[in-house]
Amino acid sequence: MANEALKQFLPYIHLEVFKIGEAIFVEGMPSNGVMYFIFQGTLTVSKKNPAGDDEVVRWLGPGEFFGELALIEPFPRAATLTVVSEEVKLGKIDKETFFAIGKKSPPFLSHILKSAIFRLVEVEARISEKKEQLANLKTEIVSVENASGSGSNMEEEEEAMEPLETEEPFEEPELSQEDKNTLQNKKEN
Amino acid sequence: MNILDYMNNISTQIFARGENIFKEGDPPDGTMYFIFQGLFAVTKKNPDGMVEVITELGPGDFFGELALLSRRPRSMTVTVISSKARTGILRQELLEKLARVNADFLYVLLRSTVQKLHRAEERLLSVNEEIQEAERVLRGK
Repeated sequence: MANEALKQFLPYIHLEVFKIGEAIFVEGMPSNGVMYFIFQGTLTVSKKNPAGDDEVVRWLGPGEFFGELALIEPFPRAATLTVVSEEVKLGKIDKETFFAIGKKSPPFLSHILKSAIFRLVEVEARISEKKEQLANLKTEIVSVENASGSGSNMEEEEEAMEPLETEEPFEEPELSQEDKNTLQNKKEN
Repeated sequence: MNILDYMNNISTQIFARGENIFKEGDPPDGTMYFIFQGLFAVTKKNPDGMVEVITELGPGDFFGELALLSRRPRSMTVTVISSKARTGILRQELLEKLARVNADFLYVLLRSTVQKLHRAEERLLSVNEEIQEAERVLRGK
């Protein structure tokens, strides 16, 4: 449906060719107010991970769009688009053409809306996943703190512990302050 | 153009403060909402059980389109925070009809979705930063 709409506007769509390795745009770059339609070739969508390395999040091929979101709202580009096939042929669609296509063909806008919503669902799922990871890390930090006692770090603790284990006989331990804290935390959770 | 022009014929519902329009985890029921009047808080439960306010919504805003179009459970809870609120209900059939013929309506919805997407990307970024910080703390222990 979206492609049908595009056909009528082909005369207004400027064709551009890029070679392997070239970036169409880079994450964080201000939007230049254009989106692209892929006629031929393959591209990767990558985003910087927290360590600062580029991570491929999606592959795009013929018939797909990209860059439409920065066109709707002037946010910086959310990802880096890189050519991974020998070359790609892209149709460049500026804001005016985009609106003209949308007016003429609501299904075109509908198509873009659906893809935006799916991306939103994806990002929300990722946020939940990451929050889970963060919660686990926080639990781990608390348990390490409890195990090593307040104020001391792991290395000191290990040195002090080893001779104790060999010299003193094992006895049923009383509930230490740390254990009480742990129990208290468990109750609160 | 005024989005209200297209909302005149849809059925409306009145809510009082504290009422939930839907809750996180509710199954999708093929409805989304348009706010005529009132203020709403959009919240989400964190894994530690704490409730996080994601955003506030007011007249002219849409919500609930995510579950409608993706057919997934509601991802957040929407609660009335003003003394009274009035929403229009857009059911799947109406949305599909509008989507076929009304470019302006779609464009407004698209813009609101893109803004939400942008905010979500920012939230993801800040959670990632918190994870990095927590990992740093843990390595130092």
